[in-house]
Amino acid sequence: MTRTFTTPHFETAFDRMIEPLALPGELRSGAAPELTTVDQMVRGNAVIGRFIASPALLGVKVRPTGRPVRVTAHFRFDSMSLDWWEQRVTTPGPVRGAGAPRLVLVRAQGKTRGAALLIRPAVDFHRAATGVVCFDLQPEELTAEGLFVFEMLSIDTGRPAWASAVPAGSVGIMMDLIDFAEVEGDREIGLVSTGTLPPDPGNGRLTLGAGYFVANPGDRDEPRRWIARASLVAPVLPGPRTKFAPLVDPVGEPIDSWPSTSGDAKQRIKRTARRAARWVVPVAAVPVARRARRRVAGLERRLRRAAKRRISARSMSWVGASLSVPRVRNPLADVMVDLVNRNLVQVELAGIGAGATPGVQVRARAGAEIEIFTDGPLRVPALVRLSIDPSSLRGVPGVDDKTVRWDLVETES
Amino acid sequence: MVTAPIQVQKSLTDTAEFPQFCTTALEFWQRNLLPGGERVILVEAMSQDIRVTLRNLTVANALRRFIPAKLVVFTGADDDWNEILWTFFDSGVLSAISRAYGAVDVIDIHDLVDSRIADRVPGDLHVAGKDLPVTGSGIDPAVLEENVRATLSRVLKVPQVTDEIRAGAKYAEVRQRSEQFSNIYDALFTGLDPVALVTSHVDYNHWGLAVETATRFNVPTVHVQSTGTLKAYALFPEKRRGAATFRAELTHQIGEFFEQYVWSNRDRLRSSAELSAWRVKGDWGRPAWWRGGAMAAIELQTPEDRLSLREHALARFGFDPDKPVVAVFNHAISDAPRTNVEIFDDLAAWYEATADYATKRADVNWLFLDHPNQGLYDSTGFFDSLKERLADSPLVFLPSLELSKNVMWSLVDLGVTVRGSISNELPAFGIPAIQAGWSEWSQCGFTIVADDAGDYWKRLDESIESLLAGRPLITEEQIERARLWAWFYRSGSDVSTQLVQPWEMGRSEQLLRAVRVSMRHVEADADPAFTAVRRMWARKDPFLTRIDMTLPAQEFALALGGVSEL
Repeated sequence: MTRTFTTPHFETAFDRMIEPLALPGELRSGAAPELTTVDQMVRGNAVIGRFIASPALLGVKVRPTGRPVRVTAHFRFDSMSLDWWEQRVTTPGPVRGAGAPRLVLVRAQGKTRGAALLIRPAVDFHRAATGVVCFDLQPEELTAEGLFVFEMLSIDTGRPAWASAVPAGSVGIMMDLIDFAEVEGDREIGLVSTGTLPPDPGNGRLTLGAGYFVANPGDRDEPRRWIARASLVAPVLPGPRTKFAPLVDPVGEPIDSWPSTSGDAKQRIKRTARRAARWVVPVAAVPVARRARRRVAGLERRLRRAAKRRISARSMSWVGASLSVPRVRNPLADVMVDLVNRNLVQVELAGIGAGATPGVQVRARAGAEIEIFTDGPLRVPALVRLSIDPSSLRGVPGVDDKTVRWDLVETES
Repeated sequence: MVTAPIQVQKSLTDTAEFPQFCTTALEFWQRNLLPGGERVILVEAMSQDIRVTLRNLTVANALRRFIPAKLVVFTGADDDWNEILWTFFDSGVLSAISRAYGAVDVIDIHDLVDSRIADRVPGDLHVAGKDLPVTGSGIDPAVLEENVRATLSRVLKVPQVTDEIRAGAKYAEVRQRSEQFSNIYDALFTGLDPVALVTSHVDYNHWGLAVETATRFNVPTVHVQSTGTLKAYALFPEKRRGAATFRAELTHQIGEFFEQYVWSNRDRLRSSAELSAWRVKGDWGRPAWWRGGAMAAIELQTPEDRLSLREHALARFGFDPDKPVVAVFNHAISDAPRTNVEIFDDLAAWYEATADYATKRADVNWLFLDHPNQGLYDSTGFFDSLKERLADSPLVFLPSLELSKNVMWSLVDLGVTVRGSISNELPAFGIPAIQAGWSEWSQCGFTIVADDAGDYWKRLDESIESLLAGRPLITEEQIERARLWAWFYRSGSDVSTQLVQPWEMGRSEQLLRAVRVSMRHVEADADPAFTAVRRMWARKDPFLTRIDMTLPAQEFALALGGVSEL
């Protein structure tokens, strides 16, 4: 709590009495009376609102219980986020557009609580990237008289050059929902952030969309450990002013989520969508781009439906054959141990803001996986970058012109 | 960061509503006025916004309901004003509406000035059927010089007329034009024997010199305001006490009236004042003129709310949480210099001196905020260069609109201004404000008003010492006074008449339609515009009032029709 020098008298006889939000409870609308105060945020109705600057904040009346409170905040980077950002941030810079990452820091009650990386999914690029930050407030941090303050700011300074992100990245970010509950057990979500949350949190791929991920401080005072798997993806060369994230699929890994779609139909969908995307590229006007994006999405849906119909007309033997396509071996699986032993797999960890950060090491595992572990607990949010020098992969069979993609496969610790 | 430009609505002449409006107005006023007498009322129509002229004409015609007088309107704009402010000045529209309100003559003063300067042997003026000889002006040369400097400041958008500017061609041009303005105004006042001057502005050469002539000729001047519904200040010759300017004269009278009729009625006005304060917080009716939208509301309700936001706000600017925050609000630096009482040479000199003082007071956090519309008033980049000069200091310099009001108000422990409306807003919510000059409310007892530069530094020192020592700088009574002024400014001295409609109706067809419907379909008796103007005139009050403020307690409450008990 800061010192008081002037005690204001904001109250008037006509102020609305605010019933604080009781636990467990959710804030999910900008019209909720307990959302008393906003700064650089436009209130919504079906959602809390949308930020228009960095930093920006909102203040909520929450009824304290005398016990710790767990806060889980959900937010999104959608196509409107992009429009709002384009309207407001006119400073020229190389990092912008739909595929450019947003790297944001969340503060509450005057303290940093976590960070999040938002990258709109490369596949299904019309969909939003979702982010979550989860943290616990101690009883003395929340009072009946004061406000719960949630502040989001773009991490624009003090980040390493490899941590690419747009400036003023909180501009346009939509606040979806903030959940308040009593603390029960350790936190399970929001400990890492790779770009977006998988639709199914229990069974989703956490792809490092920008080559790095955010690791937030954990509940326990102990070192942290993550396991990542490397795979190879074919390069896509977007045009100079591409506004879309390239459509990238890992090579040699069948996609389980669409078992009924034939491979060549999928290829055609992607080719068509990509062509449509390129066709949009030179057009600068935002509304045109938006219309085109919708057209691409519609086209994609139609082609997918058409592909399904074609499959059902074919024989069962074809489906059987398609499902029995043998899994192509990941060329990196054979060389990972060697690469790690020769220190060619780089893991870098950079803390955000002031505070000591632990050292980090890497150990190879079977199946092109690596285990990353710190030599101490994280006390501030950190950015963790995984990389393999492309020159070290030259000559590895099956690599050719493909690039390495990382997925986090184990994040508990 | 930039936002999309605001679309400016253009002239209304092309709309279908405009000719209908003029026809209706002509019909209406023909039956709502005394027959024109020998004397005249001079009405200014030199703003491009039709809402301004509509107000002036309505006040003038309200006078003509009980004083037989002809209406003479003077209009026009010169290149300088077309350059710095006007985007679509159209004297045709202003002339048409003036004629519809019964003007016997509409003269373009700027044209007259131009032709007199161009013509080596300038002749007489022909106004309202009379030949008026132009024989020079009786203006005090020092007053003329002040006016020329103020005009030049505004036109060049500079805080001070330097010797270099004074030696230049622009100075000579403005000087020559100003002399002609004063000559013409003197000729008009000599030849037309005006009952009153009705004007929307009292500053700069084309407006200010008319007011100066009116004052010398002992003609009452009504200064109609461009806000609210119908607000006007008036200076009657009988009420003058020899203060230097029109505004300075009024500050005294406003202070006295406030004490006598507003403060004394505080028990009856309490609930109204509370409601005004609540509406100020929500930015209803735009108390902060330059601010609107999502970032304009004060949503903080308790001191604890403020502290919750404050720790975030302090961190944003790297402020020390153990020191108070003093915010210095820059004024629009070429805005009407010298028609108010100011204690520094110019507005930039005040701001710069305060910034230099601040660099030596490391025991407080300093927040220097620029005026939201400075671009219209400064061509010198004053704020940015000051910021650059003091870049190594811990002082924070920011454009005002980069802060939401919530964050700004979570920070400010003491506000410093010359005459900004912030010095009413802050005290209304318990935050003290120092004024380095006079304003309409500077004698109403809720701000710390410095008498001169020495007094200013002393009061800054004392205020900071008090903040550091935890001594309150503002009393409950001052908070109540500030809320009562907010009520008086927004309600007590704002007349709600259908004949002009609220300012927020915009410069729109809807406005013309609403006024036209009211003229066609509503009986005019007891229209608040008529009763308020007549009351002000009869009593020589310094402003229009919504109700008769001199009523005894019981009737006062009845007239107000307010919530009498909370």
